[in-house]
Amino acid sequence: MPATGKVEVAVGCVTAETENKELISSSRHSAWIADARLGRFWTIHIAIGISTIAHVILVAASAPGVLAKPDSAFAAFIIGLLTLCIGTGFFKANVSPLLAEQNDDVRMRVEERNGERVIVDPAVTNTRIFLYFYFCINIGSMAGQIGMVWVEKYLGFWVAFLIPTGMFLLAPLVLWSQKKNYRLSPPTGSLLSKFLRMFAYVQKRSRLFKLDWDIAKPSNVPVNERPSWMTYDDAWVDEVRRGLMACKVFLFLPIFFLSYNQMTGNLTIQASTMELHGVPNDIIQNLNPISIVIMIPLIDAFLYPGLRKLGIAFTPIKRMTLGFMIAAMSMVASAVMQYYIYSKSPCGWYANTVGCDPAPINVWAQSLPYILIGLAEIFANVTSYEYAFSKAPENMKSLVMSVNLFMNALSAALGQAFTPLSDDPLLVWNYTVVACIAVVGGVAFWFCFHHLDSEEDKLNMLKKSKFIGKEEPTLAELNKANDA
Amino acid sequence: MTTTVNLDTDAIVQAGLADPEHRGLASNPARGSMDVSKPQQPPTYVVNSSDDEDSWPDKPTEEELHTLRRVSGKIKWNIYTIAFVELCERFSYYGSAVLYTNFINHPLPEGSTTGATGSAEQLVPGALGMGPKAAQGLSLFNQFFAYLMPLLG
Repeated sequence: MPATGKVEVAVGCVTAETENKELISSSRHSAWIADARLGRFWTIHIAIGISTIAHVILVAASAPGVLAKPDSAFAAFIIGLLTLCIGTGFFKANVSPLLAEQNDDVRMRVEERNGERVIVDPAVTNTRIFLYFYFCINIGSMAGQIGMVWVEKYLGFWVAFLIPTGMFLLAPLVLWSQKKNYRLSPPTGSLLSKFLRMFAYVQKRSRLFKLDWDIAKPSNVPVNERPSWMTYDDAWVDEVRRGLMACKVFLFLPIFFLSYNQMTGNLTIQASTMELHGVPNDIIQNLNPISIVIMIPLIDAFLYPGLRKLGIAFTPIKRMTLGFMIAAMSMVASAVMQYYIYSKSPCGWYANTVGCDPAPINVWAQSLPYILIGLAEIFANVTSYEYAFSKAPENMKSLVMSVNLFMNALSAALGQAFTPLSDDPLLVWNYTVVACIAVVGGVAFWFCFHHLDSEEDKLNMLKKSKFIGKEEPTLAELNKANDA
Repeated sequence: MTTTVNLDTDAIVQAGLADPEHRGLASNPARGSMDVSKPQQPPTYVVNSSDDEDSWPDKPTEEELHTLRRVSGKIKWNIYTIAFVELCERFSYYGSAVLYTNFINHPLPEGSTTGATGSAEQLVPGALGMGPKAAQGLSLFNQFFAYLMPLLG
């Protein structure tokens, strides 16, 4: 947030950033719509429609003529802001599944490349796709954030709102022009209810705490005993089970985001107690996307292929565990930095006191925690996207994705519990505690899921369900039985 | 897959048996389309299905799985276009969101109708001048609304 005074920065940064996280929770609803009713591609178009309207309202709210009447400007601004929330919620939950669908490399194959026999592994392709997707997300948000602050200052608000509108309109143009080239999976009927019924069916028939999903496989139920909703196939049951396991992995994500969220709140405030040399304290945050944009190509070109060459399978679970550890390191770096600020600040352990001179430490020393968080994001966050998509059933991808995003919202709430520590003289403890939680979380994560790691190849090679779109693989069988 | 062949097998146990053709693609034109009027595939396909699904020409053997280097397939052009679409969306979202606080918080700079300061001086861009409390209140309101959205749905 490019405000300049200390107070507004603190307030603005913290709240505006958390708000971004919150709106993600509105995506759960839209995901259901996309999975069940409309199909992803058209839900995205509706999202684009809503967001375009939102952007236009924001431009109108900031037009010089409207600004002359602050009341109407404010009203229009609020409407624009809320509409943008809805549009973004719809968009976010559906664009990544659409992306994941495009990888039609679905089976491993042996190929010869430059005289070497290699396995072309769809899981590896997926990893790269999500790395570069994240790369694009960060380029976009970085360019938007830095660029519009500058435009706002020199050309005014309406231009600063207009440029994003124009940029946004490129989205439908690209989508339409490429529509023919996309693989679009059609919507399935009311999937959630089918899933819940299956779940209840399984629960009723298996022992407590030990769900036996095989019970719900149509092949294990005689045709004339099947309930009317059992129109999926065996493979779908396996996919659902695998998808649920992926969701369990997400349960640990809030612990990661607890560290991540320090960046937008406490670290920005920390910057304001250091020597800024004319750099606005909220610009420092952009070190995070910048480091991500630099590191992703490096990781893709050297780290991952290098490890694969050495025969080390750097599986999603390992990557995420490493992500937790790096996040912890970043928090340790922040805690040390905070300690030095306290010991060098003229106000001692009350460095955040208004009017206090900054501690004689250059603000760019914060690069270390920011770069570490960026690295942790690549390992933990990007991998969680990738994991969600490779494991979810074809027709439940949006839903699994929004469970992932919902964890974002949850972590913001978790962060609230730590606000009492976000003040002098407790800030060192704040970072230390968060670091410890990240380490414990990482270790616990590994112990809970490393068994999934050894099954990674198996899980990725599950049979694909034919329960896609309106196709109900075992419906015909069921009908025949009913007729007889 | 409801095949008589696989009747009692667990798909997880049958590791390495990915079903290549049937990922909503190709082999059956009616599959994965909304066009239900096309004839369903006759149940006879069931019989020979295990053959063409359990193996494919260049499938790696168990040994190859452990010894050969794994590489990435080619990333198709359309994947980049979707990534670009997301780039645009993030640009416009963050480009707009980054302006909210100043817009609400600070008043119009003197002599400005657009909110721009027009110079590199200390002046902060602003429009409505409602103060930091209003800016924070707005954010909280926004959070609340965003939480409410999915519940209403």
